[in-house]
Amino acid sequence: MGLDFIKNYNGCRVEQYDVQFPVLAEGTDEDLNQTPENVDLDYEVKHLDWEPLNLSTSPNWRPSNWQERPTHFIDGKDVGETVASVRAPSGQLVPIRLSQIGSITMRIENGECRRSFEVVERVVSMAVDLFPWTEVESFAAALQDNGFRLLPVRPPGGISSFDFEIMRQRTQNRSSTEMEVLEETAISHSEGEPTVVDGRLQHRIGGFDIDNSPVFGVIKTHRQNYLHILGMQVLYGLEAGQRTPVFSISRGWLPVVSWFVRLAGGSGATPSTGIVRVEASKSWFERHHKHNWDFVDKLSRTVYEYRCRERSYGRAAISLHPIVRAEESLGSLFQPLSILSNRFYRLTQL
Amino acid sequence: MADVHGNNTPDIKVIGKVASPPQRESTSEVFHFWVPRDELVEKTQIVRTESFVSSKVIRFYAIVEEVYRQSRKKNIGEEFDAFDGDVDYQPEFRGEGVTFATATILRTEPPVLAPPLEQSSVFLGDENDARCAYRADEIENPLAIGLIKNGGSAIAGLGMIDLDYLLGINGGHLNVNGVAGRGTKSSFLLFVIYQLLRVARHRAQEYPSDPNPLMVVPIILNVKGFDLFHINCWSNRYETEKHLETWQKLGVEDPRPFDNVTFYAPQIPGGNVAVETQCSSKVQPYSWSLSNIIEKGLFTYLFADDDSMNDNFRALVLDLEAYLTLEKVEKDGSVTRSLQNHAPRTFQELLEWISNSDNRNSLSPDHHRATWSKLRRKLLLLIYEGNGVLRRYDQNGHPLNLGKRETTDPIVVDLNALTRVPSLQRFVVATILQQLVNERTGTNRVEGLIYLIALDELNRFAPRSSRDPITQLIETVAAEMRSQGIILLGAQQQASKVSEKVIENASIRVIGRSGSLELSQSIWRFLSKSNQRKAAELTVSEKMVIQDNEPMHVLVPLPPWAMNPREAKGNLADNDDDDIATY
Repeated sequence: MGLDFIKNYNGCRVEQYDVQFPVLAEGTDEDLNQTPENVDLDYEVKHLDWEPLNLSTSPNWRPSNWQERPTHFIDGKDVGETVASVRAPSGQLVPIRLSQIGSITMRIENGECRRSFEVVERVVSMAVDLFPWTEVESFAAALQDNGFRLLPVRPPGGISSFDFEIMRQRTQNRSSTEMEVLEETAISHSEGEPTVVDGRLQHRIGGFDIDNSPVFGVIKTHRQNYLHILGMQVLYGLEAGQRTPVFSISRGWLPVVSWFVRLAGGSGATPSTGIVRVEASKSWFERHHKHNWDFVDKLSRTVYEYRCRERSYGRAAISLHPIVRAEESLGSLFQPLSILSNRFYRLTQL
Repeated sequence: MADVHGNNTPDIKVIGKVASPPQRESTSEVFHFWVPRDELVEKTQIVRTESFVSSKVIRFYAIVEEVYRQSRKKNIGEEFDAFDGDVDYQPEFRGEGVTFATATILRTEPPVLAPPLEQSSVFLGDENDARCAYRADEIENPLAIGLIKNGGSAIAGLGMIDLDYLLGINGGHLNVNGVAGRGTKSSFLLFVIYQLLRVARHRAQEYPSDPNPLMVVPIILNVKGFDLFHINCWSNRYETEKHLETWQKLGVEDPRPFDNVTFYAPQIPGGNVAVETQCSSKVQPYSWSLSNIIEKGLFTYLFADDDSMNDNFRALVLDLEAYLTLEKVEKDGSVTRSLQNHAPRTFQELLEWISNSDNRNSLSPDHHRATWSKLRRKLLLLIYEGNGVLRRYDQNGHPLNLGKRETTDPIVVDLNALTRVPSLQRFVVATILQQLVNERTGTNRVEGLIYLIALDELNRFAPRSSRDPITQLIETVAAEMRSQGIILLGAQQQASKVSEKVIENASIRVIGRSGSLELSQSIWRFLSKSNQRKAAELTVSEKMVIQDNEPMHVLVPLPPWAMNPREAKGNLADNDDDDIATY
């Protein structure tokens, strides 16, 4: 069957459209009164004593003179779109997502960012449980011959949805998960050097030793609130270069210590502008730097000094220069998606 | 390093990769390439790239037109921000800009009109690449005229011109443009003459019975000071340790000043010797009496100023020349000319004869009295100002006789002493050219003999838009006489002020450092902006040679001969071993 799989299951192209994401549940101030479970806000300072903290480093302190400064920066990219759909024998409309995923390590060497590892893959993600196994295998092999890898999407609990948007979101999640695997590969190539990952550590723990690897996550987008009301006030009151007290988060597989650092803001910006959250494995921190707030200050200062200063970059206020360079460098290895889509259409005769 | 086939070629240095993003697309004429960190790429370097297209490898030879550096910042504000406006601050990260270059394709092999592909490796060109780039491998009759510059200080072999294009087989003439006092023009012309003499003598020695021998007779016209009256002396600027190497790379083991140079200068009034030139060798005088002028058919050239040239005046001059001339047809069909027995014998007598209105009846009565008066005034001015070169009272002069029958050492003819009388300078040039035309077209013609006329300040002798007889003669030489063996090695500061016909007929054009105003003239439109800028920045020893391709950027050695009295050490070149310099 091979690439005819698409045709045989009434495949058709899907025009690009603006996805309507489900509205997130709105929080209330009452929610803020409840300290989230598994979050220890008393880790560095009693939660009632929270205030913006100035870093202990002197004004002349330079990250380049600090032995423990992060030297490796990891970023991943998932660029794709739903390009087609097929109809399963059971009647569901199954979205097919075509994407390029990749990860990259930028190593800092004499003040320059050098690419020390990169991997790029082209993947097709779709729900496969709805089709005969042999046909899926044949399709996957044919894709492989043409430089694409099939990512099977398995629905939670084995139950496929009839909702196209839910199915589409699952294909997207699948390629993102695969990208995180590639990021883990990149982290593993850092060989124990202090490393910064763009995003949370939770999804990359396969790439490092949580007890012994100095790997730090820098999170730009805050999808969840971990702070109490005073904490929020402290957060919004941070000056550029200040940090919040350290707190710990024990939810999930990887307990972390975390804190916020303001990279930019003030002069008319919204209070949440320019704030990133830094996290490190709690196990590693307590093993190597327990109560070592000086280390936290130095790492915070390093993150601050490494901030992106290019105003033309849309997310400059919350980005680190090496991560921006990593994004650019990885992006340059990607082909324009339109080329890939058209190649896919030609191969599958859509 | 890997070539287009993926084979390793360890000795070849890759200096970049072709890039063709929007706004910087590759074409069949130009491509761009980025340069690795820490790699030095320079303007004027020869580069090569290869692409695998349609099942074959295509090689593109190119010259780096310009090298650019681009930072990653989007605007100057971001450059400021990187330092927070503090010049003492050292950012954690370096600029990490990108160096890239634009290269103009000189040759594509096989000859296809297509661009190289992006991501093709770009190699730094070597001697072979430079040969291919400038098609030296296709030249059957080469002459080295310098060392090809490969960037600021490196060299990529010999810069060759095709003698078939210089000496008249497929094209002819060479023209040099450059500002004064930069060693741009005369020294380069002399260098070419030196090389041509060397080749001619080498061939004569190697192939003594060659049925088509190369024989050259260089005639150098001195137009400034008596500078070129010292080319047989060593230059005190020439230092063997410093300058010999370049000559040796050109195959000249022992460069020396010119030997056996014949010098001519205007005869002094009332004397039988040449004007003082400070030349350490014998200088022969030249001059013309009225009978010499008539015998050589030069009378009309005496009145060749543009403002003289109306039909009435021209008719009178021709009529008078006919009156003064006795033509005799010899047995072999040739015509000899002499002064009529009844005619005035000297210029002074001619002036008196014209002043006497009774004599005017000897000619056609059509000539108006005013035209006669004009002729008298012109002649009066000429013999007053040109007294010496034109023998006012003498019946015999020392006319230049430059006809030769084999390769000779340079002949230097001074025009500088006639600076006050431009019309007389032009007359001498016309006389020489006319003589050579007669030599090359008459019965005495010697097959293979080539006269090389080196003439600086062409704008004075063949100005643009002028229609006088001397300009026309030079234009005729430029347009028609190359095949007859008269080659014009011309030079000027501003080609835009020289007859277009003379410039356009030069198959080989050379540019030394030239003024930017001159380079903005339409005559230089064929040069790219980058080459125009380059031409304005050339050093004394650098030239851009244009044959049939992009300009070839060459390094020309410092001459061992003196180019002016200050450079002359005052001693003649040693002639102890041979009569002829060891070329």
